Amino acid sequence: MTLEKELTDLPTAGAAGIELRGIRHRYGTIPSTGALALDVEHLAVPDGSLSVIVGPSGCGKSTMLSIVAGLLAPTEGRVHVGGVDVTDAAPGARGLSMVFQDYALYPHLTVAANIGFGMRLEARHSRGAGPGRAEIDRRVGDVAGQLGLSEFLGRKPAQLSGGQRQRVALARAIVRRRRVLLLDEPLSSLDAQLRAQARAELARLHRELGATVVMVTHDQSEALSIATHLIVMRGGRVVQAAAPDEVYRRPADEFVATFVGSPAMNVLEHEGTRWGWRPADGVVHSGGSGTSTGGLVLDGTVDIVEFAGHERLVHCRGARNGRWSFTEPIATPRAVGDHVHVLVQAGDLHRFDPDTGVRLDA
Amino acid sequence: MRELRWHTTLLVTGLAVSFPLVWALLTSFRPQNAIFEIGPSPVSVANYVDAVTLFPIGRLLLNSFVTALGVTALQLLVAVLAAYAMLSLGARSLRWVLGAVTVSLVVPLQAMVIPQFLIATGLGWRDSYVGLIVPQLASCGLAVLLMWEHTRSIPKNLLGAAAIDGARPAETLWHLVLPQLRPGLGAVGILVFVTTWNEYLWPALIAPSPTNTTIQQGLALFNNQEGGNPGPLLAASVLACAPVLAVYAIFSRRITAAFLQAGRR
Repeated sequence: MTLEKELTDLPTAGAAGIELRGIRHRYGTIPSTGALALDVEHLAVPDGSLSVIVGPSGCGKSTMLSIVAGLLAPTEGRVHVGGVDVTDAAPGARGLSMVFQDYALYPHLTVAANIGFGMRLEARHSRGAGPGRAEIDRRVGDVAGQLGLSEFLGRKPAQLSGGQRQRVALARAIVRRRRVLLLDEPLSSLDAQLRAQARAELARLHRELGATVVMVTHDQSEALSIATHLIVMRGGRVVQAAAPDEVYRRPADEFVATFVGSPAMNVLEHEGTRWGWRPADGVVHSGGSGTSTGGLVLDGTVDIVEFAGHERLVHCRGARNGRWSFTEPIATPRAVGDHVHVLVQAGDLHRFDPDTGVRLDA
Repeated sequence: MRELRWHTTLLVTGLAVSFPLVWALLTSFRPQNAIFEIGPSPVSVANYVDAVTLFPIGRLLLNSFVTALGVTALQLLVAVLAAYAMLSLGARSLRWVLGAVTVSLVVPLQAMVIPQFLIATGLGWRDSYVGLIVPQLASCGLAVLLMWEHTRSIPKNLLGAAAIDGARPAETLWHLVLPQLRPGLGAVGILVFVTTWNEYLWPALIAPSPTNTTIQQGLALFNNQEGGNPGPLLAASVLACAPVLAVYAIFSRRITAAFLQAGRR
């Protein structure tokens, strides 16, 4: 996705927050016995945010997006967009647009007709009050120009590359200037290089649109890198919803701690508590075990050494407690079989309840 | 070796299937006094001249054409609307509907033809196109099932995208579902057309008079009135087959493709 021109000159409809209240959803024919796919007591997506819903596959994140979009009616609960209860409103009447994972472009229509489809319907429904033919053509042309699609307007989706199709899907979603833009794994079918570029462009697009953007992904590093608000889900529930650095620094429970952040957080059981620490917070400590200031000193043997450019990730077998890893500068000599002491400062330690996994130093 | 056996089987089957057709075609061009002979004979179109001049062949073909076209159009309409509605059914209701449609396929036409005939007659539909066409809608079960197979393969997200773009159900059907169904409409339409064209029992009951009936029933006229006149009968039969064969010849590739596609889903 390349924004060839700034989008700021286009009129904006503003942004709208989203609120889910007591949303429960069951799949299956008998509501009372079906599995609970989604159970969200309360969730607020801040107005104008780039909110990313992240979680392992099957955690209910796409279900939640479908419920917000109105493609799926929740078994229970209410959906509010911009302060208005839209639970019973048709998808097209909720003031939002969506990019689907498989793009869902209309295969028999040209790129121009795909982008203008919604506006043409709007014109027909409003009997003259909506956008006219010239207005539609102009807006389709504008968006196509901004997304670098001008030369493809006459083509059918089948004649486009994956990246081009993704841009058409995006153009179709932003051309009508809705207050909320929903993105269902929009980057997952792009190759790694294109994905990194598209991710940066998405962040910029969000800034320029001035709309609330809600994106679903299973990739935690993608989520951390572009979100202004991060929603972590697991097993149909929202486990934590906060700013990304807050989620990274103070994960709400052991699942969030190990799911968000790469390389993953180490978690060890020690004296009846679960202790977590990020590999980057472990420092090799040469002077024995004297300087502990409430921190943790670990003894271990180097098992695997992973090269990661300017640093390396060292996996160790602990002398007493399990396996853990730490990072160190590449300049330090290191070989498999080395014996190491690693110190983690007290401030870098996370404590979790051994039974519930919930963060303890709240 | 395997290939040889395969080809031999195909060849024998092909010959067996086409033999009566070819025989009828060749015989229909014999002079009327040489119908039952086997050896070579001069080519004659006397049978065709008789068939066309002595019997209302043109009218019968037109009746068949209008009937088949009408039944096809109406069955497709019903099938598309039914299949589109089935998209929004829950899993349990869908099972019931599919079950009911399947049952309608299993009940033989002959079992229902008498009550159907009484109703149609009561409505004053004898010897009319309405009588020929409307009751034949009752056998749209196959069309519904085939159309459902095509409709359910339309990606759900495509319908979702249209809904978010603000399309109403009828607009989604017209602008999105119908264009996706075009190959299916062609295949199912041809199937219904050919089946209706070849239908004998219903036209014989509802439209018995010589000028108001279809070509299949009309062929019987040759036996009734002339006490068996095989030459013109064969010529008329060839004319009756021709439209169907033409349809297959023109669309054979699309028919095969559409059915293979439906079968793979």
